[in-house]
Amino acid sequence: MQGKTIVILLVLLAVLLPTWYVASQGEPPSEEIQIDQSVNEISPLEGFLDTPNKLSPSQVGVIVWIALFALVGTLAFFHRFMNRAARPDAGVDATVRGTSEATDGGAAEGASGPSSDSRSDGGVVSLPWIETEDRWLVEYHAASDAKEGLIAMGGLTVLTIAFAALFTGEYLTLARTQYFGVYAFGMFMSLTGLTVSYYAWFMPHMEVAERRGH
Amino acid sequence: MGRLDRIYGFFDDRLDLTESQSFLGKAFPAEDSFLLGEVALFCFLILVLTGMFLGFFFEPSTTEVEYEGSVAEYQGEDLPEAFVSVLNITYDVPFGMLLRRMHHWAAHLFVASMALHMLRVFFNGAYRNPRELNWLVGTGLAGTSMFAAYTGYALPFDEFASTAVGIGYNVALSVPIIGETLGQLVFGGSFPSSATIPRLFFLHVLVLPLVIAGLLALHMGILIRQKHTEAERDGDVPGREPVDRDDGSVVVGLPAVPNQVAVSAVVFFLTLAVLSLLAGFLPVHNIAEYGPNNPASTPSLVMPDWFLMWGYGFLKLVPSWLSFDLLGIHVSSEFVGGLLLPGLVFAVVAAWPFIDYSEEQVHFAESPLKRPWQTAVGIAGVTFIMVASIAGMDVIVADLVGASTAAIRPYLLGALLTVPVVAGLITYVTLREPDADPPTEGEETAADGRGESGGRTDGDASDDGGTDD
Repeated sequence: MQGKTIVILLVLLAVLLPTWYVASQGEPPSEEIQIDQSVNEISPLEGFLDTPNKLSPSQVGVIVWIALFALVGTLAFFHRFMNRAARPDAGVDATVRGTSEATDGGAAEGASGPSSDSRSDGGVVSLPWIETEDRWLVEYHAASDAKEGLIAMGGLTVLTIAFAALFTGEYLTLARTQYFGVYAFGMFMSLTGLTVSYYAWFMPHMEVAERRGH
Repeated sequence: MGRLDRIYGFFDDRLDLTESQSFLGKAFPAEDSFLLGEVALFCFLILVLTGMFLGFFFEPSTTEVEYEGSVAEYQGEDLPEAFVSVLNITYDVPFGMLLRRMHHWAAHLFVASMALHMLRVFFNGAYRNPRELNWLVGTGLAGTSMFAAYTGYALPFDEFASTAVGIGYNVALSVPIIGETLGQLVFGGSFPSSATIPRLFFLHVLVLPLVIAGLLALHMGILIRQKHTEAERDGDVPGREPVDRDDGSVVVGLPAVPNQVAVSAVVFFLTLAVLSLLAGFLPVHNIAEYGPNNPASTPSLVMPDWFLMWGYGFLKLVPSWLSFDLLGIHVSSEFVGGLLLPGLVFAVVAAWPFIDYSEEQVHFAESPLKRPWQTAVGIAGVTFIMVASIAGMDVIVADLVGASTAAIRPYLLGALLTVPVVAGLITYVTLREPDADPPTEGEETAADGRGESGGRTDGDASDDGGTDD
């Protein structure tokens, strides 16, 4: 299978690479836009990195496809991390077996007993929309509530707040676009990390089976 | 009873929330590539939100006004109001440059993610019975989105955009019989007229977003009714009602709430993060560099956005002698290259589920490596679009090889006709050959559950069901 995949990828790359090479050729750089500071106090062009001041539509095409592939790759990494970290005890059979089990939406403690059993923390999992006539739980892993999850969430919360403050502060001063971009990127990546951490360590991992015909 | 319970009770009495609660458990198969549709959906949401911001400041008018903003180069000049308002958004409104760039990058990412999503569905065979309808809706979404991007492209009325839109106007005029009417309706008459920008603005901010939103709602509605396709299962699924490995009448995945909602939040934040970085560092459609529309000049490098480049390639490659008269109606080469051929491509894409038709319902995504001729057609199609795109950039190619565009055109036409065929044949021959490696245990089991169409089918073909994500 691997050999066939490589052949097809080579065929695609044989066309894709020349396309991208041609598309990446742009117009020569021109002079920077001059901003008259006596008219406006904000400085959107004040950046910390030299970047092109003009992109041709074909260059935009190459960049957006690279960005999309990077996004999909990162997404796949986080998606797998969430599902892997949410199953800390790979050896434990977490399948929900009986009809009487999990009627409230989830088995407690590795599904060794009915989901309405008390959990070790004293709570009971209860998600009534999970278990219906046409849908049932097939896998349940209780959240690990591990200490590293708490540390990760704490750190990422601080980061999110810091980036949000920097983003707001930038608005109140020079409104520089590159700084906005970095702060917004940091803020959204921190929020991504927060969500991933919460999912991986503090949310029970569930899978359901559902009849298509209902 | 607590306050929250009372509020819930108020709405529950009126909307029967408890009864509809079961919707929250909808199963989402946990496949990485299935999230591409969500990337497109969130791009559309970001487009709407950033578009609202831009709409507060944009003036859809070509009336000349004196520029008094902070761009030194244009101060004191009389410029079209649309151009001036976009300059103001970009250089004088806090967040303006970031949000305008974000709007542009989101538009490009929207089209790209939709294209990749469609390719994923195509190569997995997820368009087959009963998902043909949703494939048609998706094809309509792709076409509408490209047109929406085109109408937005024109709005700043800068030199580059007005030249590109002018090409579109000439293509519209080339439509037999209704060309003039179409030009009047969409462009407000001889381009650029004072009515052009208001019309394209109306299409861009109201009509086309509503059409896209409607098609998205229909796409999601069909998905919810039919439910997702599913990747090959590792084995039988035990539980209250055991599910066989190849039983398509049941879908297995993460419940929408709480698990899939968290995954979707990750997709949303990551999409925003990527767009923030792109918008922060890379200018897209920098109108101050292009300058206002100047009917007396032509930019050095004329080309449309990348997703229209393949159509532009057709326009360049179709020879002028292809104009002909049919029953007294003149068919120009501009119409053939600019609309007929791209229209045929879209028609073939729309018709594909009926060409690769499956009598039985298929609910499992299949590996492209197990679908030789369909994958070969897909690879041929992708390479066809890429070579046509290269032809659209013939000015750059000519510059690179040190020849004139007229000299390289026959070679590009030859490549357009041969490269896809060769790529398709290589793919078909590669996939048709029996695998040299011994099959794995999973493959052996998969073969047991395969239906006539090549993919595993629903346990009960009479069931209704399925669409892709």
